[in-house]
Amino acid sequence: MLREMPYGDDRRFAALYESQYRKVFAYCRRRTNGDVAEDTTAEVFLVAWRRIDDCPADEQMAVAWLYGIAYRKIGHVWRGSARRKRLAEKLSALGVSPQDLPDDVFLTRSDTSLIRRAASRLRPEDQEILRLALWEELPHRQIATVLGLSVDASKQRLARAKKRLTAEFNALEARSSTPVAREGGES
Amino acid sequence: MTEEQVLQLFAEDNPVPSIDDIDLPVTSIYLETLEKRSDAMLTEQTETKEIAEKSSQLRLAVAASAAVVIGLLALFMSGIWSRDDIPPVNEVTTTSVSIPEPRVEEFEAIPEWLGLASAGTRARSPIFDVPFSFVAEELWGPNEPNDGSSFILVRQPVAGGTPMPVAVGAFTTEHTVEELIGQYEDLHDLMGAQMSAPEEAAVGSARGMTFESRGLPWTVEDPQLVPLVRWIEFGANSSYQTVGAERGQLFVVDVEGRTVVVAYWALESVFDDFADEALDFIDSIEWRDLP
Repeated sequence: MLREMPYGDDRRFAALYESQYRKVFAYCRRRTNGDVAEDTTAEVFLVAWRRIDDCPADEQMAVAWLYGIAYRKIGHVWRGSARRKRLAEKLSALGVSPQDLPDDVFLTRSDTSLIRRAASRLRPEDQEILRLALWEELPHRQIATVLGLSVDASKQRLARAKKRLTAEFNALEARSSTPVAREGGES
Repeated sequence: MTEEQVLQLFAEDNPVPSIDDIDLPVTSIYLETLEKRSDAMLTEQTETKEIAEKSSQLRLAVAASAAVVIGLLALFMSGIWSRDDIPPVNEVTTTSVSIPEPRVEEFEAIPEWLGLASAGTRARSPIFDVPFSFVAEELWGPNEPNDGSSFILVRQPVAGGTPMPVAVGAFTTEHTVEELIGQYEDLHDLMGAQMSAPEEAAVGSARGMTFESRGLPWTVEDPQLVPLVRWIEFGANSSYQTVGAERGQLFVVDVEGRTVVVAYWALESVFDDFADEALDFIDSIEWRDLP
């Protein structure tokens, strides 16, 4: 057992952890690779442990609160990954192998399906609101909490993100069906 | 493919479709891990703080030394002192350097007719008759002329960009929310423009309706349509009149008995790119009387 809990209420935290760990881990795993997902989940619960008094009593809003923490943590991971990528590009130009660097952690799956390529062309904010709605299946109220928006703003942003994804997908599909694209492949 | 089909594909692309297979680490072990992590982080923070303090002291010392050197040099160059007049170093008064605290939130009233708010500050119009504040972003500034019943911000063009392509604004009207929505429907019908079905919406704590407008000409003038006429009047002497606003999103809300329209407009070609930025502005609105 813990010798002493320096922050918050340990029983409340334990209940939160046991009911929400899987959801938070899945959230992180959907956006990063396995190791990073574990680390990020731990970071999220560390913040939750310290700030358990800020956690909403309502279970659904508590999930949104945890996702909100995870969203920001993953933002840090992503920015770190982007920095490493830029560094790798610079080193590559100097003849140093990028394999010497840690792997990129954000969306590194090899599958390049059309829908994934279409999604990757959207802005990060649009990608995230689509994931929250379609992968985490959160209602507007919770999406708004995660992203720090009003409910109305989140509704509008989601509607626009859906339109943009559809437009990108259809554009890619049209391009991939042309003879030039079939022969030459997509650049 | 339809939007529904594309969204279905996206939903099916979920890399972790179910959480049932995820193991839950034993609670007590996990808590111990968190505790270790917390201890490590506290140690790191303490070390970082110590480094920051040392760095700050060093900066102060360097700044003070630089001030002394510059002062001596200036006096020497001006001929006030000859070399023999230079006092011993221990008699030279050092200059104290104060490092200002970072600004967490600032408030400023945007002067009407000119000027830009500082980006990221909470601001308000000093004369708009329904007090509200908002967070101003870079490149946004009030458009002329604003008055007690209307307030418009325009996004200044970036270098090489389209001049005045977008605007956000608010104006008050004597009509109720329902009356105004009806007027807008009539106007769109009359002009052959498109108006989406009004939906419930809120701006800050004020509730009302929102709809999207497309294809409404800027040259509409109808004394019965006061709010739109105001928009047109604003455009008469400004450059965005000639650019036009092909698409807009309007929020008609009730602020403690006053009907206020908050809207953003843009050219069709830039509307989507602009919408998020405009929504940030609308989302930042608070209806209250700030000092």
